[in-house]
Amino acid sequence: MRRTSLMAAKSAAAAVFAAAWAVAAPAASAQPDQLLPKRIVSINLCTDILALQLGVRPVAVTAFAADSGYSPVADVAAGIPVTSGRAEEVLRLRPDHVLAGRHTARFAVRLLRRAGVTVTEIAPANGFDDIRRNVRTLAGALGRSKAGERLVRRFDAALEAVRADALEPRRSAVIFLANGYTSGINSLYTDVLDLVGLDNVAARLKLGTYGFLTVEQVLRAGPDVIVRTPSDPSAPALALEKLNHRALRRYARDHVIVPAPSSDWFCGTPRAARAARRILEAVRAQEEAQ
Amino acid sequence: MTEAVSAPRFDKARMAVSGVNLNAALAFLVLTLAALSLFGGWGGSWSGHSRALAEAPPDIARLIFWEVRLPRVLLGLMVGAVLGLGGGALQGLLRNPLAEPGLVGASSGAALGAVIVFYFGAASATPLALPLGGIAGGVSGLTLLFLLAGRTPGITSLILAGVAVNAFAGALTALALNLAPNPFAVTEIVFWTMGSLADRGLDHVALAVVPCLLGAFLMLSAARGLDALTLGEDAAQSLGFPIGRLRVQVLAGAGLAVGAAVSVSGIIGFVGLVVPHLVRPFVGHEPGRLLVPSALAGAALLTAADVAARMAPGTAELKIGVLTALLGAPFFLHLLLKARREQL
Repeated sequence: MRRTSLMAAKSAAAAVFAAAWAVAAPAASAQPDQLLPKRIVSINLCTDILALQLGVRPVAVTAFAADSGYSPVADVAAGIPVTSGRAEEVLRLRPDHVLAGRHTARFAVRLLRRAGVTVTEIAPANGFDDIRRNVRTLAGALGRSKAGERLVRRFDAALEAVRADALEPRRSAVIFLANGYTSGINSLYTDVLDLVGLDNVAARLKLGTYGFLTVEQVLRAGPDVIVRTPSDPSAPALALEKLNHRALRRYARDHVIVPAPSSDWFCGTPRAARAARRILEAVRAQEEAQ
Repeated sequence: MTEAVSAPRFDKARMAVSGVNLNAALAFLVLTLAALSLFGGWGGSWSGHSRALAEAPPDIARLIFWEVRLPRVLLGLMVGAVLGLGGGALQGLLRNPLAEPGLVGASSGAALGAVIVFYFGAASATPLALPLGGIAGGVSGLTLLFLLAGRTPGITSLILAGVAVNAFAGALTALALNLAPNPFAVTEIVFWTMGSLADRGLDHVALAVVPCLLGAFLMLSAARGLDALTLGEDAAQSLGFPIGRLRVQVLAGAGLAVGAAVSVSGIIGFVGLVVPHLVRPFVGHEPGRLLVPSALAGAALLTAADVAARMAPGTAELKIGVLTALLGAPFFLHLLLKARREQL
């Protein structure tokens, strides 16, 4: 909530500036122009990112969209007004199309639909297939199908490039994110590791898709590689301090610990290919250094 | 209102256990619990993971033992001892059986101070800022309480002033966490209000150990003064224990020790309340003799609570303050009812 204090001011500004942002999605697809949404408001970080990656500029996005810690398109989102995602605030912008996450802001989505606004919802991506599906869903809803296909093709090419370069032989790895959050089977994180040539050990710990690990559990799993959330000295939290545990700092002397920026894969977007590339390069660099 | 809570009933127990024997027995209990805590109950079940150390490769086992388990056990012993001792010393100084670091504003003030230095970057630059922030907050909380409640507060004014100071410090802590730049900060209020020893390292022990020892020394060396104080302030004065100096000594000791402890463990309530009452039947009613057993029993209680917290079912580990409050809150009510009966 880096920008919480600014949010009230920004959302007030959003109402004023809304008229100025009369951005129409370019009518590139076969759909008749009048059916294309013209005033799009995104109330979920992941739909913010996907929309901007598709070349669509929403009337308003979430505060996180311009936060480089979470958003890979922070620079593009920088000037766009922000909403908190509450229904009354969104309605004031008179949107004809709202983009939302499937499991967030349920109440706002219900109200918006009742007010006659079209809402497109995106499910969380639990793998590369879900990313392709989400890109296509959103591109279709916004009349940007061609841009969507282009994005998917670029994504697939980037994944293929990492796969061709993957680690040989494969190494074992654990994902250890803020708060000790980890991911086992059937998740985007595991797909990324798998592509890089890393076997997610958490899949063996029978944690299911998501769970939490203690420092001791990580050490006991004894992975070759630990993939973690990077530190942020300007915005500390216990959630991140746990990852700097002295025992892990010692472990890093003869094992590899790789920071992976949240903005690459916090949301399942084509940017996940970048997460894979960065992890691959960081593992290689550290192994050479050791 | 004094700590003379039904003395005669326990006379037999008192005779049976001399001070030295009691301390030896408590020390044995502390060591046993610490050993149990080092080897069992890691990872949710007692037996399932007690073999983990033996099964891990030797270098990993060493790392787990020295860098994960030992710091946690040490921290539990240290924080528990300081809270128990703080409770014993404060009850003696205030001549009030309900006094404890949590009630008198030391813990909530310390949490506020630690939150401010931690989340806004001061502690990332200078790690020592963390205990210093906790100590500054703890001392401020105690000072505020005394300004509100007066020098020798009765039960009502102590509780009212305590509620006010704690509510204020708690609200400011929540506010600081909301304004903190990291989005995880808001959810971490659970750590600061309920306390936890999970995944703390030797560096946390190192940060807190010096102020904890200093504070403990100040409180322990107030023992004779606290004994004299049971005769009244004037008597204590004439015995060479001026009340003013005694007060500063105990409050500074509690502020130092509790402030540093809370800055690395969060607020763990009720230990300081329960522990002196548990050992009082065995040592009688001289507050001075209560101090060492209170520290030992505090260490034992918190170590036991930590093992229980690790083994509690659930996806995330239970916060240790949940257990101490479950134990302490009914105890607090029991003391209140008893105090009311005695007033009638």
